Amino acid sequence: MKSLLSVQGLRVQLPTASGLVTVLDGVDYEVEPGQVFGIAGESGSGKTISVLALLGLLPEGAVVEGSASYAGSDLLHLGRRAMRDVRGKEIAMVFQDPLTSLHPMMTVGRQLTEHLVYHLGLKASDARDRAIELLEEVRIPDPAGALHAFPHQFSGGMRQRIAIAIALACRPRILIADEPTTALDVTVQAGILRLLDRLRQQSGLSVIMITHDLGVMSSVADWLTVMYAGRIVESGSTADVLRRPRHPYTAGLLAALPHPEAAEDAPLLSIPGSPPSPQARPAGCAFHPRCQYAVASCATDVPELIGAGDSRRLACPVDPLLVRA
Amino acid sequence: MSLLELREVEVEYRRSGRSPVRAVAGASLSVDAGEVVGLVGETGCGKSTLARAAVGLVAPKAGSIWFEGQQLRPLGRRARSRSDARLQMVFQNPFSSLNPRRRVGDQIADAMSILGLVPASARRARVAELLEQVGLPPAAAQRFPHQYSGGQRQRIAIARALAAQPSVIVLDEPLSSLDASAQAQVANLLKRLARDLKVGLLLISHDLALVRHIADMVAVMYLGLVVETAPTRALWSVPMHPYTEALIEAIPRADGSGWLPEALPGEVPDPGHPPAGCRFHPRCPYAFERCRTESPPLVGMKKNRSVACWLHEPGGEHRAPSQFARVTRTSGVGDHVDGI
Amino acid sequence: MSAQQLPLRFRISLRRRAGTIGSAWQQPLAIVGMVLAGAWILVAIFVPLIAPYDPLAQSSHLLLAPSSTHLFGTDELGRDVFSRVLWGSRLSLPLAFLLVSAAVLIGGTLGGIAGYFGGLVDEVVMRATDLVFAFPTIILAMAVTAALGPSLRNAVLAVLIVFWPSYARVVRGLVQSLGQADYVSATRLLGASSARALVVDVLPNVAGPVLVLATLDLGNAVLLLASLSFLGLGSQPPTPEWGSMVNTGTQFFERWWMGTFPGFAILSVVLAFNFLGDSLRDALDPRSSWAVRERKP
Repeated sequence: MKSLLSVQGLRVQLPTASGLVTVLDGVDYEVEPGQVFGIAGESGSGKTISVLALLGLLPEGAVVEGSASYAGSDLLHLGRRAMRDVRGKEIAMVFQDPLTSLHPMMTVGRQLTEHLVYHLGLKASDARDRAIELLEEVRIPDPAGALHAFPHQFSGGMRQRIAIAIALACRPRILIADEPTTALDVTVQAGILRLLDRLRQQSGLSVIMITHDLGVMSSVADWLTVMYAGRIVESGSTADVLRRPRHPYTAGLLAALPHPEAAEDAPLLSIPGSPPSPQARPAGCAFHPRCQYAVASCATDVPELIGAGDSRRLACPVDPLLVRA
Repeated sequence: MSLLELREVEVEYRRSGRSPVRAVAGASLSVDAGEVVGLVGETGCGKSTLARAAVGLVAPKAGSIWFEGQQLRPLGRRARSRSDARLQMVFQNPFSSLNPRRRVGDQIADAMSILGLVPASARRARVAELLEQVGLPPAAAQRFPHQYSGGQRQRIAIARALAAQPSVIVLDEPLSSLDASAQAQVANLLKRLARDLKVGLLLISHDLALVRHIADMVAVMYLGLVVETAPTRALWSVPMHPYTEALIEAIPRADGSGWLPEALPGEVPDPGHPPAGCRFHPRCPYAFERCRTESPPLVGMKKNRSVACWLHEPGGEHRAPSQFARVTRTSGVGDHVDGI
Repeated sequence: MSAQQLPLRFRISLRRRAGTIGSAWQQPLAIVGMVLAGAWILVAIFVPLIAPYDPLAQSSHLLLAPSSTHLFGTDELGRDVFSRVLWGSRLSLPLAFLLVSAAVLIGGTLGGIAGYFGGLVDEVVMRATDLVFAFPTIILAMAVTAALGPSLRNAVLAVLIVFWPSYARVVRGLVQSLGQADYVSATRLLGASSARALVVDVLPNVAGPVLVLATLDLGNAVLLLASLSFLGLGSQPPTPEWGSMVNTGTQFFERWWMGTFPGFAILSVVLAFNFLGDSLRDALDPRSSWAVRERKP
């Protein structure tokens, strides 16, 4: 099956007060149709930048290398006009905080219909009907009334549902969700995760799910890519990676989670230190200063992301956690 | 008697132009020396307001707060008494809880000079000691807060509270602004402090999984009321209140099984207009007639547990609702819930 | 909305704008401001040594155009305009500093008390500021001076009355909002009296914005004083005050040097303080509220 989106060698440098800084250092991945593709990482890992690059939303002065082929064209080299047609129509995005990603001064109805009118050329009345349909799909009570309401009149969870409705208005093939549930309560989060799951099953939508929360990944993602300091360190099917993590960082992240099944008295295992900022990335493997399995070569050689059997990819030559059969 | 005791505390706050809201409508809990009590609840349950009242930053409308056997006087114009200063607080936002223009060491030493606990000559050494206790180098005393990360600032805030030699510390969501590594580090620190220094901790959080690792006792809050209290392990193995059960079921598991967490139908109602009867009944899968008209009081059960739910007999058996209660409602359209 | 919640592209441009104190002073306007203000301060100090003539000395060389002996020419009584302009700085600058300092002290104190105590005190102070704000600045200043009698001293008093409410408002607002800050609550919980919290925690954070306002106001003070003198309500002849000199200049319009040079003096001083004030504001702006890398939303 041909991939829907194929990213090769994506490298992004951003301008800062002290010159260009490499935020994303050569990243490859492929998203299949109907797949929930998870990108996990902490702050500074570059996970958000990688998708902003796809949509042409990087700040002025950003330097982008590599390619991102989607439906026969390279997203990274599209002109402004062409990019506008892709954004919202083919690839849509939902952000973390619906309070700031929805326009506070426009009614919900207007925010929904403007997309429909712009991309699909619908008449106002058709757009309105479709808007009500969309709100029903995301389970907003009283959709007709909601059209005239403003975002601040809704709770956080409802606003995120509205943001998802707006994103899906033009039936995009890919939905990018950047930490969509991080700001929400856990019961509300569960509702949004179930909504995403249902939507993608109904329509064959591909979802790129970005979050640092491995529990959320486990619930919805089919494929998991773990990023650290601008590079991919491990990728594979979610079940496989979470049950048998092979990169020390992935294992460390899992161990730091309060596991509902673990004994309560055990202290939480944390990875010593903290993720490096893009300006201060260590040489060689970026994780080596915090890694308990590091050897001498880790400080000098950047590990390649290579196949490690069973569609798993791993960027760790030491591979200390490999369980030999 | 416990070190810190809240009895039927109610806290109101005014909204401009509208009727006042009872953010806390009756909360009772207690903290003993060396005990970590976790207060969990979701947005709008009033836990932060309760934290501020517990420490004296806001005066309760009804009920009473007892600290070390005396009734706590809310903070007013006058300086807080020495004895009350043994009840300290760590705030949620590590960026606004430290004065950006003063050095870290000076802020930690505040308690020592104000309360006269340590003579001026010995303060530097004591500050270094406290910094070490929270895992920071003594050189940190000379720097300013903005030079530190969120997790480090929380440690500084904890050191500042410890300088007052407190017997109880109230922590308002101390871990929510931190990322995973820092969370684990600070969580372990708190556990260690409670154990080694015999300080009682009242830990407010929305993260039930994290609280499970740190707390000895857990109190669950919903819409201004404490609905269940229990020792941590017991709460997890047999949650008695339907809301507690729902909270636990909603936590995603990072086990690669693809299991979707359970969603709770409906929305948290406006605290200014709570539902009649039991506040949780509109969303409760087991609600019956009595729940719609009478609000259940928090009653004691065996083994240091209590619950506010008509499903349980006072002093009766501990049973989780899903084990025995009859499901009276299933979700429908408009509940904005999927796949139940 | 914290910086962390903005999409990355906005965070990057914020980083570029919010410089440290060092980089703000390297802006061209800041340098111009500093040089100009510095020059005028030096003039005001050393004017007895610099000015070639006594500013009050009349002569028979009336209404001469600028020449090598009289750089800015002479006025209708034969006095050297250049010396009068230089001596004018001795009047305008110290008075401006005095005015603004007094306004900060009086306004700041009243505002601080209002913000701290609230209630009736707050109401009274706020209504007093409302009263002053109800009138256009120059009109009120004119009214006060006219009522008290035209003199430089009364003009100073009038400007003081017009300036203090801004500081009262700013300080009151800051005291109120900073008083709610977590770190103030934390100090109070440690046993600090509210007075100590005010002095140690609130005031240092109030100083910054007030300083910016004060620096900008220095220019305004010079301008307002000059305006009052221009209208004949401030300094009286023969005092070499820039405003009254411009006034005289309008009566002798063809002798352009009489009004233009004092006018330029006013212009350059006001601009200098404006540039300084703007640079100060940029330098003190969110330098530490910049998002730190470690933040789990």
